[in-house]
Amino acid sequence: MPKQCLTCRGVYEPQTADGLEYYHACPPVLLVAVTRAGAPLEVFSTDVQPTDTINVLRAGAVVPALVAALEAGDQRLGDRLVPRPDARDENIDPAKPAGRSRARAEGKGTADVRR
Amino acid sequence: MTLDSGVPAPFRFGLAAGGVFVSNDENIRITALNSLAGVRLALEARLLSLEGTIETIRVELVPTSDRVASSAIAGMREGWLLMGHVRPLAGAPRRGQCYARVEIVRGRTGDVQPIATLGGGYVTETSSLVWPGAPCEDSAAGRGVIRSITGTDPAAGVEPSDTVPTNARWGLMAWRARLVADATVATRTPQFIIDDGTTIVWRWDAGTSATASTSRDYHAGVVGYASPVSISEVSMALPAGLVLPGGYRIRTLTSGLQAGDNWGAPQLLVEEWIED
Repeated sequence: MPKQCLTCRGVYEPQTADGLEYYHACPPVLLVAVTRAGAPLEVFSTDVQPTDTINVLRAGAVVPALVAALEAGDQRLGDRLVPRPDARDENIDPAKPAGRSRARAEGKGTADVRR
Repeated sequence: MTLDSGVPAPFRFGLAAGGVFVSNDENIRITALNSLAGVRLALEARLLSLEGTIETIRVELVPTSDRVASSAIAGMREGWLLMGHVRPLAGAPRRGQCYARVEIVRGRTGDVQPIATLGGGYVTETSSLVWPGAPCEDSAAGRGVIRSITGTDPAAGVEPSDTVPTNARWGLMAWRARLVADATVATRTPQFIIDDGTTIVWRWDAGTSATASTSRDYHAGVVGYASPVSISEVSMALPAGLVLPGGYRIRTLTSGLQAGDNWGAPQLLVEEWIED
C-alpha cells in the first residue's frame, strides 16, 4: 500500500516492483525572493502571493514584476533550494541500534494511501 | 589401520593437507549485506575431525533487507575445515543484491575477533559462494543488478528528489519525469541536479522552459548531446559512467516553479551494488 509523507506530502511505494525497500527522503524546499509590503524576504514557493513583487528576466533585462502581472517568457530569478524543515529521511543510519526505527529522521511520519 | 567410521588413518593427512586447521576455540561466521526481502542463506561446510570423521557444519542466516550487515556464527570442533559454501535457501537474489563473507573467528558473542577470511562475494539463486577457491571480491566490483525504480511522486509545487540508499552504490543510467505546469503565466526552467547530500556535483539546464498549461517529459541519459526530441520531450545529459554512493541525491531545481505545478514520480534506471 502506498504511503504519503506527512512532511512533504509526497506519495511512494515502500517496496519497489523488484522487491526491494524504497527509502523516501523529503526533497529540499524552494525559497523565492520576493518584496512584500516594501520589505525583501524569502518565502516558500507555495506561499508566494499575487501581490508580491519578484525580479524577473524579461527581454534580456532584470526587472521587478508583480506576481499577478507576469508576462509569458518572464523568468523568475533568485530561487534557491534549502533543506526542508522537519524533513523525513527513511535511509538507514547504521549507527542506530537494530530493533527500533533506524531511519535518519522521522519527520512528521507517514499515512497509508488508500486508492 | 581402518577405523569403524571415518577416514582411514593413512589417508587423513592427505585429505587434511587441503584444509584449514581450526582449534576448539575457533568458530565460523557468515556475514551478509542484503537488499532483497525474503532471502534466507545457509552456510554449510565439511570438517575432518581429529578422529577422522567427516562432520557437517551448518548455520542459517536470514539477513535483513536494508543492506546493513547481519551475521550468524557456528561452532566447530578441532580439525580441518575442508570445504564449504553459502547458498540461498529462500529468495532469488541476483548479483548485486546479497553479498556474503565467511570468516574464521574467535568467540561467539560480544567481542568476536575475526582471524581469517575464507571468501566473500555475491550469492545468487544460481551461484553459491564456494571455498576453497572463493575470491574475496569487492562488493562494488563487476556487474551489479539493473533496477527500474519509481521514485516519490512529489506534491504540487515540490521538486522530485531521490536519494541513493545507505550501503548502496548506484550507476545512474537514465532518469525521466513529467512536469505539468498550471495555468499561471510564468516561465519554468528545470535543471537536473546531482549532489552529495549537501553540495551540487553535477547540474544540467534543460535548455527548454515550460510555460503555462504545458506538459513535458524530461529525460536524462548518457547521450552525446542534449536536444529536444519533440515539443513534449526534453533530453538532458548525464556524465558517462556516473557512479553515486549512498546519500547522494538525484533531483531537480525548477526556477519559476509555481505552487500548482506538478512534477510526476521520476523513473530511474540504475545499476546497483552493495557497498559497505
